[in-house]
Amino acid sequence: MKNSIKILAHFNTPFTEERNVLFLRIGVLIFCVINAIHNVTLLEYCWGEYKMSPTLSLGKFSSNFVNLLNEGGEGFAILLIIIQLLCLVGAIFLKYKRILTFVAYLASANLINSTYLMNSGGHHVILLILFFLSLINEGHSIVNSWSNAINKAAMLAIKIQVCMIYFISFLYKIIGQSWLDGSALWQTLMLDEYTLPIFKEIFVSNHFLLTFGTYFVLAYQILFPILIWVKKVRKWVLLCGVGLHLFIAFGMGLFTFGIAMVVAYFAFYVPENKISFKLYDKSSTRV
Amino acid sequence: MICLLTFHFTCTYFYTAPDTFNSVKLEIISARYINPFFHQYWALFAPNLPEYNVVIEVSDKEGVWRNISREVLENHYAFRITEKGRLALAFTGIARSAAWECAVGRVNENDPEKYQHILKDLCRGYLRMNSTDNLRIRLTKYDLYSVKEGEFIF
Repeated sequence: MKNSIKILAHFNTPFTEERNVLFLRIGVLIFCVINAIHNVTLLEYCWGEYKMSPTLSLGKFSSNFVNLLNEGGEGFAILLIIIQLLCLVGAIFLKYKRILTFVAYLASANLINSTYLMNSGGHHVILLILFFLSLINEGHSIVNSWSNAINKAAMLAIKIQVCMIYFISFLYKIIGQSWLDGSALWQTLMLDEYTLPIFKEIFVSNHFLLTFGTYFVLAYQILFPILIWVKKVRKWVLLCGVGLHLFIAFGMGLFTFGIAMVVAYFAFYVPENKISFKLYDKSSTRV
Repeated sequence: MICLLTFHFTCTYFYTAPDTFNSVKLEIISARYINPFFHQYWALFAPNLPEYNVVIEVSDKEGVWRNISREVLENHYAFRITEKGRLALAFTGIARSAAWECAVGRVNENDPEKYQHILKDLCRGYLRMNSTDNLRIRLTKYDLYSVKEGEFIF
């Protein structure tokens, strides 16, 4: 009974993760800028004459809202990119954080869904974070208000979503033979698109390292959703994760996925910084 | 709030979990809620990884083949943080599916050559060709030790 009251009370305590939200917003903005540079470079392949991703068959009415670029259209795509970036910047500096982030989410969803053949899981991570961020207004943290409770629930949702990614991925892996026998990392590095020639030379002959790496990934994916809630080890869990995702980004070439996961980590932890964010410290003490 | 979060993540679980740990009925019901706003897929190199690489070559004339795979992959290796990687992933992923389609035969009842068509469109786009231009594709399948396993031309 005491525990359930404690859980319920959690949503009434003041929202104190403004710094995490700010870092998440900046991280998402950086991701979207990188994605925009990629897309503009590939403009005619993404939405122009040589559009690569085939048209999606839309089943639901609601699908239309996030698939406006289904048939392409370079001008409209550029307009959406501008709206997306302006809204993300606006959400950092202006007070209409929810509406601006939601508009950015809709623009991002349309841009991402229309280039699905060239996307990685990172694009979905960012879209999900953006949706939950659109429910947060870190300026509204008055105790016992709905706005505060929604902030807390949305922040919790981002954290659970990240845990879910690892947990579901772990479930898929334990039914795969190559993950259980420890050969998955070797197999990955042998695939042309997920390797680097120099990595092949260094690692492929080192079976111990590759087997250890495979089991490390499995262990990390099942332990992350548990250990991340333990304050004492949180920093180390995230450090391991950053290492893993930088390897995925640069070693395996899934740059957008690696970066998106590192951005998602800001939901859990933000390094101390004495110079900046004094503004946030002041506003939180006022509340 | 607790009810909303519980409902959302229960649906997310049933929508994304592998069949072994899932219920078909609940997966279909969850999809009605999850799609299109919360769509996600987290298999991430699982359960089993591909066991072959595919080399794509294209030709608009008889006998002159241009190796697209090499071009795309070399760019991907050289420019790691640029858009080249996304092109490489699009090509290799579809080429693998097309090679599998050629080897197995009718994979998709509605469109038996679905991936072959997508790959042709990808290559036409990459080569800046019109959709009516004639294009032949040769896919060569290699196992992970670079031993040739098969060849498909369409």
